Amino acid sequence: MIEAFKHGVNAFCNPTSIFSAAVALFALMMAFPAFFVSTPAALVLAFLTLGFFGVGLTDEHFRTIVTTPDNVPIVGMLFIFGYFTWFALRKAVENDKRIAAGQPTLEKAEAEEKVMVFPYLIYIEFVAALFYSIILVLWSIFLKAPLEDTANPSISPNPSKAPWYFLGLQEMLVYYDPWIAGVLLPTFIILGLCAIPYIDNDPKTSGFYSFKERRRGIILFLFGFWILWVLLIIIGTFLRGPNWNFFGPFETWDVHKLVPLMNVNLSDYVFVKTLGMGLPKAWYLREMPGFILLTLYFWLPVTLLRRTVFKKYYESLGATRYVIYMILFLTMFSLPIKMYLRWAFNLKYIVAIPEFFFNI
Amino acid sequence: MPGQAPKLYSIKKTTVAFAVASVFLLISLVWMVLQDSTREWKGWQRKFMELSRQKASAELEAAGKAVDTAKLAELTKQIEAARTQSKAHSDEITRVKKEIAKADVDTLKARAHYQDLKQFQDSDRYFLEEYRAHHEDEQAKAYEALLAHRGPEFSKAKADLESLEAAREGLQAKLEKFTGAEETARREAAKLTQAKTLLEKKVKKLTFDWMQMILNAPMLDFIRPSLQIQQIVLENLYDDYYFNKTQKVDRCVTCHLGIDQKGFEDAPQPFRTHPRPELFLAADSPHPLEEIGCTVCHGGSGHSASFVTAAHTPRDKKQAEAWEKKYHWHPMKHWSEKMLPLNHAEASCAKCHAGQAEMPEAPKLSQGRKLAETFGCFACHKVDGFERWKVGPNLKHVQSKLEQDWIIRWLQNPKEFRPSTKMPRIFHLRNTSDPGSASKNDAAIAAIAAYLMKNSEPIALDNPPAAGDPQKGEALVKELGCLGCHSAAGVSANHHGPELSGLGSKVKAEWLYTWLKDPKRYHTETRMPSLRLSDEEASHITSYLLSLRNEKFESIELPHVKPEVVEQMALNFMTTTKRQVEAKAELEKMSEEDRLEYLGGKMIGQQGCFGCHDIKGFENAKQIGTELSEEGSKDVEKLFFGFVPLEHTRQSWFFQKLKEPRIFDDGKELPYFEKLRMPQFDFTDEQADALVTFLLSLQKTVIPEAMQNRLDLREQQIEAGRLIVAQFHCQGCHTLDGKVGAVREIFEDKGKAPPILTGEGKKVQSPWLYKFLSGPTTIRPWLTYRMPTFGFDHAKLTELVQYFNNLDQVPPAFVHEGVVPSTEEELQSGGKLFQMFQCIKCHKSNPEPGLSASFLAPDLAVARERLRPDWVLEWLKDPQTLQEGTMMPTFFSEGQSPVPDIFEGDAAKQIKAIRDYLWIFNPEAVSSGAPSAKGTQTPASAASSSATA
Amino acid sequence: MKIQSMFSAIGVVVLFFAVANPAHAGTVSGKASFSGTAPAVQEIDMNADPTCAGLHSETVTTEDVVVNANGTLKNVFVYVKQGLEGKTFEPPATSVKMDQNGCQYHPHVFGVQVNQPFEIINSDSTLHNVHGMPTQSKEFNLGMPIQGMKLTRKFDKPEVMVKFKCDVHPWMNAYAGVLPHPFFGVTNEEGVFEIKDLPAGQYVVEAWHEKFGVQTQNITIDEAGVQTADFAFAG
Repeated sequence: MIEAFKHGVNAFCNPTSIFSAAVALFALMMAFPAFFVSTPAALVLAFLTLGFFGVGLTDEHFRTIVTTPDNVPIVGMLFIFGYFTWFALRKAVENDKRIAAGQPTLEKAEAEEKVMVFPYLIYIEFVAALFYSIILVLWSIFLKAPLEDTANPSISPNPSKAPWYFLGLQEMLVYYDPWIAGVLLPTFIILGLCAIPYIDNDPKTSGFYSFKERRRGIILFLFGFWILWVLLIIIGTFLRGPNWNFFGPFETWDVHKLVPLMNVNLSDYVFVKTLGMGLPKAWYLREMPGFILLTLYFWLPVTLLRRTVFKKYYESLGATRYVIYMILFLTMFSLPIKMYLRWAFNLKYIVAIPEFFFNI
Repeated sequence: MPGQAPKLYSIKKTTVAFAVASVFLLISLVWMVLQDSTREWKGWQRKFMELSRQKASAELEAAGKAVDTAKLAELTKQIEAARTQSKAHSDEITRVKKEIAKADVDTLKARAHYQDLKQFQDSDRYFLEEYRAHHEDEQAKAYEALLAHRGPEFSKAKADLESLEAAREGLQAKLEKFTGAEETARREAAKLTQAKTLLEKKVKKLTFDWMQMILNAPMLDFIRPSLQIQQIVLENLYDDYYFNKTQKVDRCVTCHLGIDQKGFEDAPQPFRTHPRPELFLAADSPHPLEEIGCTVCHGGSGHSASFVTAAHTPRDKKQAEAWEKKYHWHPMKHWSEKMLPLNHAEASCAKCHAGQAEMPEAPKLSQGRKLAETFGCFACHKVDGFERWKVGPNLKHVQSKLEQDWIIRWLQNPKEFRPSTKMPRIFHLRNTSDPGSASKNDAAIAAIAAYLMKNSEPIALDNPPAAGDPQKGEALVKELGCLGCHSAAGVSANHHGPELSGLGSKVKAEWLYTWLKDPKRYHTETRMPSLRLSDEEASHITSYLLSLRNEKFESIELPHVKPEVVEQMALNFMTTTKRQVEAKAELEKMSEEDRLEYLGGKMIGQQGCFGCHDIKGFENAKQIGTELSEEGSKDVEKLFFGFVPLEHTRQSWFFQKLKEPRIFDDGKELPYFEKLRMPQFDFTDEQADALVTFLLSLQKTVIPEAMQNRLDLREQQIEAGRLIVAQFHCQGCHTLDGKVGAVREIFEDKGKAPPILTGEGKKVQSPWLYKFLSGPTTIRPWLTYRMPTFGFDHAKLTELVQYFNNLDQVPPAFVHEGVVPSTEEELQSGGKLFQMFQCIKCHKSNPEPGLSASFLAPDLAVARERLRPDWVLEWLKDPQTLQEGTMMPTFFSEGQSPVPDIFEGDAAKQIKAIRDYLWIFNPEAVSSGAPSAKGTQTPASAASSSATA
Repeated sequence: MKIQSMFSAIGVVVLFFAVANPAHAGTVSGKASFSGTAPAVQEIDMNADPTCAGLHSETVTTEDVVVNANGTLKNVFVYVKQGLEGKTFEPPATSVKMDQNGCQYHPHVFGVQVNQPFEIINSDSTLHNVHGMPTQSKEFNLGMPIQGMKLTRKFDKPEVMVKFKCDVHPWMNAYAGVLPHPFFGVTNEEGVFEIKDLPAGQYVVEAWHEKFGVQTQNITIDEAGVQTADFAFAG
């Protein structure tokens, strides 16, 4: 029965299905936050993940991956992220209920109480610090530092993985050209995060947890954080093996696994597959379909949404902030779109200009 | 102040939490400290301390018993007596002691005073000289005055000091008078029990008492711990960490404490002394521990101080399980240079002892090399430093030797024809025995045979004059020396050449006859020498060898080769260079034979037959096997284990590859031409094990020049000679260079066996040896074995002569050594002695027919040409010591001469005289009635001398 | 003082008794009979060395198988094989002689005690070399060119039948039985051998012959004196 479960999970865990399931679950959570935030739902979710890990640990390969000293913090991180997201949403939902009922928000109620710094702040912090150092000491006793071979510059380990926080980017490398995934998108992420307060400078709902007040912002951020960052890290840590091939969590990493790779550029699709004529020599002719598609992608939604869904939002933001917002929004969504294009049509690059090493 | 401060949470509960936290923190910290300090090697060091304490206390007991108790008792009695006697004067003794104390104080003061004055004197003298030198006279005079003034005071102080010292000695002597007897007795007793007291101190030092406990306590063990990591820092040995060299540091002695100490030979591991300490690790041995360390030979991680991380490697599965149970052993994943298992430890000798054919003190490694040489591993695998000759017969004229059918039957399975053959099996092996491949095998074999036949240049052969007699042939094979290389006629002393069996169903008569007469005509580089057979002898041997048949082999029916299989295989080769369409067209044009020959050529290229055999068209084809120059350091990941359940170590992979090379194709889906090609040698386990040691010895590690065992010119020349001796298997007949001639065991009377060549360098003259090796002449006529003509070129001849000379520390000089003629009178007596000893009775120049072998000895006329003068002196003195089992009797047993009247019986002079006479001796003069010894002339001997004229 | 004197008296008696009882020490003698057809007598062709040929008027026969007139066998070496363990015997000072006379060894078969001097004489005018081939002690090969020359050797380890040969005259050979005790004998022309003053006890006596191999018999020596032990060799 365990074997069947394992094979099922291995099969389920291929990129398309795990990504789509995650997006679906995320959409459900955002649609009915109240339901997911309630303690029984949370307990069920927690029990499911713990159960999965418990069963998983019986598998020898899964156990080696999860218990290697440098992956232990990542597993810990998943549970901590889950808890704090749940905690924040729970507070937000409760505040929403209070605002709807006209009561003051939780934070306001707490603000009236005044207590002394000592002992209330310092004492509890101190005890927390003690427990924290106990954990660290025990950690140091049981998990030895993962010293590996003496570094041999002539042999690169297979798989050679980036530190865990960059695994998201490394996953992007599968779909994008290194320039885009390594340089452009990380800068957009950083700039985007910095720009949040400037784009959404509505003072109204600041200072307290609320979901309804800032629904779009929260969904957008959580989508970016959970699906495009944490999920990709999970895939990068647990599901990527030698030669960056995809392996189920219970599948032993076999260096000789051969998976057919038939990714094709858009220009090949258009000129060779559909039109049946050879690729034009000049690169700008060859990449014309790509350019068209890109300009459409970056121009059409901006104009259409301005008049329809985001109309009210456009007025509050003003033209420039709206355009910046849309560029960031569209670049962020280009990743899932690229993923699905790859899985569906084996599309490699929309625009491929090897002459300048520039591909999107 | 606001009234009662509001509570955020209950402090009492937090205090409880605080208490719990601090207790747990304490426990975890203590646990951390303990866990860090209880190291495995500390346990071993404690055990070793206990072991050496037990050994020391055992020695203590022995020493205790050894002490001469009677004498000791008597001495103690003396001490008692002396003490009682001195007690009588106790008051006087105390008085003298007090005086001595006072005298000490005075001398101390006097000495201090004297030394102060000396300081002043010296500094004044310095200034005096300086000023005088700078001609500042009045200053100088002032100092002079000072010196003068202080002079007497200074000498008085010195005198006082000396008198006080004298007084002190006097008092001491007085005291001595009373206690002297006691002192000497006590010193005597101490000397007696000295060994015992030393051992007692040692045992005390080794007991782990509370003091040691504190010194080694976890947090306090930084002050002066007695349990420490011991390490050896090696000056000129380096660990190579990929383009970065660090000095090698070996910490193995942290646990292997008794490794270089005597007395722990049978201690339990890890304390056992290293085997053969005189060769390894002793300070005066060639491999002292401080210079060599451990990991340079044994491998493993020298830096680590625990059993598992040191990367120990078990010898076999049984030991692996034992270690898993005892030490939780597991192979170190992240350390590539693991320890060599002990049964392959000899592999590391090759790191420093390069360039030696026979590895000293490493029999297994030498056997491995020998096997690799004889089975022709270097034909396919390039190994630096091991470029050797082609081991297989020459196939360029094979048509005049073999039938095509025979080649086909032979290639099916060589061992069918001759089980002892060294030719490996190439076809119909484990991975090519499925029906599809089997038919391809047969096609390939037929093709190869066809190719060889077509590309064989005809060669002129002589026909045997008359049909020889097999009985005589067999006798000749046994007598002439064929058994020096071949095993034949039921005698298998040597396996250098192929076993002479079944030749009747293999070769043609005229080929065999020509081959026996002159092998080089058929194969210029053959190692088969010519025994200068007469036509009659050659035809006898030919008829005997052809009488040996292998009917079973002849009856193997030839497999049917389907032409379409041949065509398909040929197409496969053709499409590597041409497109499918062109290849098909090309093949259409070729006739069936051409296709077969084309396929044959391609298959020879693919299977690498040209590695061992000279084949037309493959003169400079490249070796087909992987290079093995650094196989011993190859990354285990690079070895393809496939689906074979093996431990992931080099040695287990090598062993499997040698025993069953094609097993790694199991479970693989491969077209015929991409299957593994290494042939099946059917090595025994022992052979495979030796070869594994050889493979493990091919390592990448570079040892600095200073630590290499560099050979000087003499040793290099000896090694070059050893290579030739190994190539031409001289030790098949001769006892040479420490190896006993293999055929000697056949001879019941050792006198008839080929001569022992130990000491040949000191014995023969270089020019003669050079001439003899290039064209042998008979020296010992009674030997039926003939020294063959190997047809050495000039280079090999010089190397051999240098080899023989250097073996006996004689500088090779290609100059004939003459003898300084002594006085006429000596020559005369030399001649007389020569007559008296009747040397001519055995040393006849032309042997008479009908005499049994033992009657004859080498012809003395050749002696001055052949022998070194000073060797002859040694020889005449006592032949047995130079050549054990020789037929030459000792004439001067125990150095006395049987002839008293010449040179008053002085053996040395007589021997020298005989030797000088030999240098002018010519057989005719003696046998024509020259004066023989007086008084023993009997009619018979006169007749005898005339008979031999 | 009385007691000591009494003891010494008894001691003397015992000693006398021990010495005096040679009468009780037995002697073993017997015959080595030979049955079946005697192999043809081979002649030695000595003309290889004229000096030897000259020394003999009539043809010389080999001495390996010598069947006496009364159907007994000569040159059979009989000795006590077991029963003397633990006892040591002083090697006699007199030497055993082996003479090379007429290019033949005389005697052909003989016995010698360990560390007893063993003298080799060359009474021929030609060169002989005595090539002794013991396996237990060191092989020796001594040249004796001068007539009348004498050399003495000693054997340090017992060995039954050390072979001697002469490399100059291959037909010459002799056998010596080297024993740690003096109890041995060789059958003479009448095929009779005798082993004298053998102390009482159980023994195993072995008879050795160059061609017909070895036979053993168990004998016991008691006060009766002469004890016979006959051996039968078959052709």
